[in-house]
Amino acid sequence: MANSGIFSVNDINDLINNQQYPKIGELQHIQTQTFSEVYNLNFMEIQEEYYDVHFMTFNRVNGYSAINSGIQFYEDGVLETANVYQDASQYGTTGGSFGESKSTARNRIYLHNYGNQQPTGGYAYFYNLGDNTKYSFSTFQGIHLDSPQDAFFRFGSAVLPQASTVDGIRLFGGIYGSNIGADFDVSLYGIRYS
Amino acid sequence: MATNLEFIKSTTGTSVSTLDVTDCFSADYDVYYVSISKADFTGNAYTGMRFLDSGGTVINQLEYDYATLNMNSSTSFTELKGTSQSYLPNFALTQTGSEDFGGISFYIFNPYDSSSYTFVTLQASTYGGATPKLYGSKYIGVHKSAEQLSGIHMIRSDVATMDNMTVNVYGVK
Repeated sequence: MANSGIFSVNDINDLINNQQYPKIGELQHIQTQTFSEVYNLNFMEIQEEYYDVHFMTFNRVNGYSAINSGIQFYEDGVLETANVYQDASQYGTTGGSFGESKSTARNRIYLHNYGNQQPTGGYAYFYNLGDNTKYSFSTFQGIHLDSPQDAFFRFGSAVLPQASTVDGIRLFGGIYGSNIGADFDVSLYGIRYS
Repeated sequence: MATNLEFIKSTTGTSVSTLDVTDCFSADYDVYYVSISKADFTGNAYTGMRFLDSGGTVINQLEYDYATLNMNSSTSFTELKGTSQSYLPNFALTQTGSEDFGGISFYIFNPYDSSSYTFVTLQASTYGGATPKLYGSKYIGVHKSAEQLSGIHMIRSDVATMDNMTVNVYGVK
């Protein structure tokens, strides 16, 4: 933007809207939703045109044992449900059990299997959702108590290997294959200038 | 407690073999978030990094240790690790193609503290290969010299040209 060297309020607002003027707080909150006895919920206003990197947090996850949280993407408004997602994750417990999980043909990104011992949480980053020349990627990590004694972690990566515009996210928070839901908060942020 | 990110600077390189992000560390922050979401490469290689000392000189002494788990979506995972390295190597394996670079998110701890080592945690996703598949990295690294650092020096394991790369640095408040 051309200017005289002195920014007016309107100049600053225009620059902020175009992500060309820094201000305090580049972790921009987009939306928080609460799972409450539902199997899935959608984030349909993810502002993918503004952010190359999104950050999602899972908080106060509790409810049922074996809650399998997962992600599907909307491409130009159409939910991708085919076996086209790939993920790879490592899990482990304080009790000493470790293992790998991987697939080249899932119908969703498999994030974490939460439990019901204590409220816990996790997070995920998403990359290139709004860039239709790029695949859409994620990295993620979560923790829960697998039993009263054992903490369980999982971290990993995932991809939807299709060059498309992802303009929505469906999050699963129920017992896999059922309509029994969990109870937790999910917040989506955009990282400015990313 | 961290409450937000504050944008510090963005650096982009086109057709370069290394990329320096200079003067991005200061006394204002102890923890930094670095995001690389835009990058294209023509060769199959890992991404790596060094730090810049307080005078802006690349530190290439054998002062880096690392450990990483390489995860992929179709074969067994592999562990890579090393001590006394000349850089932090072996993360975000990328293949040829413009659509296959996912992203790298890493946190850097205490780079400006002259009395502390500098630590890195990192996670990355990429895609490609002869039989295309997902590659993920979970990574820890340390620069084992108590000195004040000023910036980041990005490299490739094959010393090949980066078609383009953009590195964004934030302070964690």
